[in-house]
Amino acid sequence: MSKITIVTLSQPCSACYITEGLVREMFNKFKKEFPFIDIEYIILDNLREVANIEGIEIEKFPAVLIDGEQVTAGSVPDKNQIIKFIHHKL
Amino acid sequence: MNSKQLVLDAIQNKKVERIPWVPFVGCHAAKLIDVDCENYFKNSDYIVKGVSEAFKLYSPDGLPALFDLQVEAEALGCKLVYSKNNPPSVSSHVLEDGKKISDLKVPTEKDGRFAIVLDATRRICSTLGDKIAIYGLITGPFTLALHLMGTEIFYQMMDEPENVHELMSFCEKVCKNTARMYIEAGVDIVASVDPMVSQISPSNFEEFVTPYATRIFNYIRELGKNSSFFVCGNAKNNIEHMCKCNPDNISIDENVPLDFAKEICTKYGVSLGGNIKLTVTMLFGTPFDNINDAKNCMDIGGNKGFVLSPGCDMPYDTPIENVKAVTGAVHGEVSDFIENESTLSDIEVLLPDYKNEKKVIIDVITLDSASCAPCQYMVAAVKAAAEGLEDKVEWTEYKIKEKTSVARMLKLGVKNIPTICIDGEIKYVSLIPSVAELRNSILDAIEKKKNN
Repeated sequence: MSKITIVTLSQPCSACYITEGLVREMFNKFKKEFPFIDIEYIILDNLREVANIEGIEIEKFPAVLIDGEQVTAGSVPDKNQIIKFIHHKL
Repeated sequence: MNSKQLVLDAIQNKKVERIPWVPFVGCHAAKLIDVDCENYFKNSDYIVKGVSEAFKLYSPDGLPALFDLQVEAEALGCKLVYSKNNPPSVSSHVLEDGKKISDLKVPTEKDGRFAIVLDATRRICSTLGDKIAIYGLITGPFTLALHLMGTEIFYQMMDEPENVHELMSFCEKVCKNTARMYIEAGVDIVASVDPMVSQISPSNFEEFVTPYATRIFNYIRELGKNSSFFVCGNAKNNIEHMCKCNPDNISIDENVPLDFAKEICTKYGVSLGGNIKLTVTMLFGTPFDNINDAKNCMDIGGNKGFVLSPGCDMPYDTPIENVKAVTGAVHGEVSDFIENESTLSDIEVLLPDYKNEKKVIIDVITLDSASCAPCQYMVAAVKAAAEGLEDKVEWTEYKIKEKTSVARMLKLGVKNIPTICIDGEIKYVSLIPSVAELRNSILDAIEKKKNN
């Protein structure tokens, strides 16, 4: 089972907020298609909390991690790539 | 030259006597008047009050009437989710919900929240418009298209490009109409805020954004107003294409290096705005961090064709003292603080011989406890912790607005404010200690002195 972690800031700028909404939407759809994936949302109130998240290499948000490996930072992931990732982990 | 003219000249790429400062106060204005974002974005009285408060607090040269990139999408039928401390977000995309592009109609003042937004804009322009430059922010065509279609747009760019062109063409009409409504409401500058162009490649930008954005900026120019192209995110590869769209100005966030953007903008004769770091500096940094960041931006931007601003709209909880610190830096009130050390060479500051002084000496280095909240709390903590120890402890606040304080700060090796030094040793930086913790540190210092 793959674990997807989406890390966001509690108060991002407008652009990051829009991106975050799109990322959430995308993973909500994935959840329907791949019910076995486990999706976790981490909302950071302070950047210092990043230190507690294993796998974060680039501190740009929203950040998406699959099984502890960061796949995007501040951008909308390519859904096809994410699907490949999920299949690869199966 | 008044504030408004400073902005207009800078936008027109002219040399100005002082770099203009335009804090992008969006949802942060709600915080300033102590209301939540949902109420703020739905009420023209609150919007007017919030912007007026930002004007009073931050002495800006320009302000946006509103920073909400969802107004057009909502008027076109997308559902929004409102938040207490963020702008609303789009939760459904009309073109995903069964509607076709041909079903959509360009929104007017009667649709969605446009009546509220335009009413607020008119009132803001009539009360502040002679003093400062008012920006009308429209949702840029690509971001609007993304709101309407959702992430499917990224795949349709490859699979059904003609569909995306049809949508962009519709979005161009919406942008032009919204720009016209803002201009008629009295704004000086129309900013097309298109953060999502940072998500596409230069070739996709050229094909799917350039023709539409260029016509929007030309239209704004035909209506006799200035334009700005706002982007957020890592749009480094698209800055040149943005300039080619012929806006008067582009505005970037911290994801694009300012010197890089400056070089390209200079080449195209486009002015530039940016890019104080929103999160690291404005939301979580200290006033000192904000002064340094602003100063760094101003050094790179220079006084020709540059507007100092945050990278995007400021978060709701951005500390007021951080924004005020930037204002101070812009108006030269704290310029000494960040000047090169050599300019302080004529200032002689002798530090006490801490070890041999009879009393424990506490130096509190602040921006100014009268105007900076963390500084105020730190000074209050010192005052409370030293109470009853007057015969053993002496404390002084050094405000870095004064050159001698800056020289003292440098001699002490202090790099952040507010900072507490006890007997010349840096003990607390930025974080305010509890009175009990600080009192214990003072008692330790007294004990140490006794033993010497």
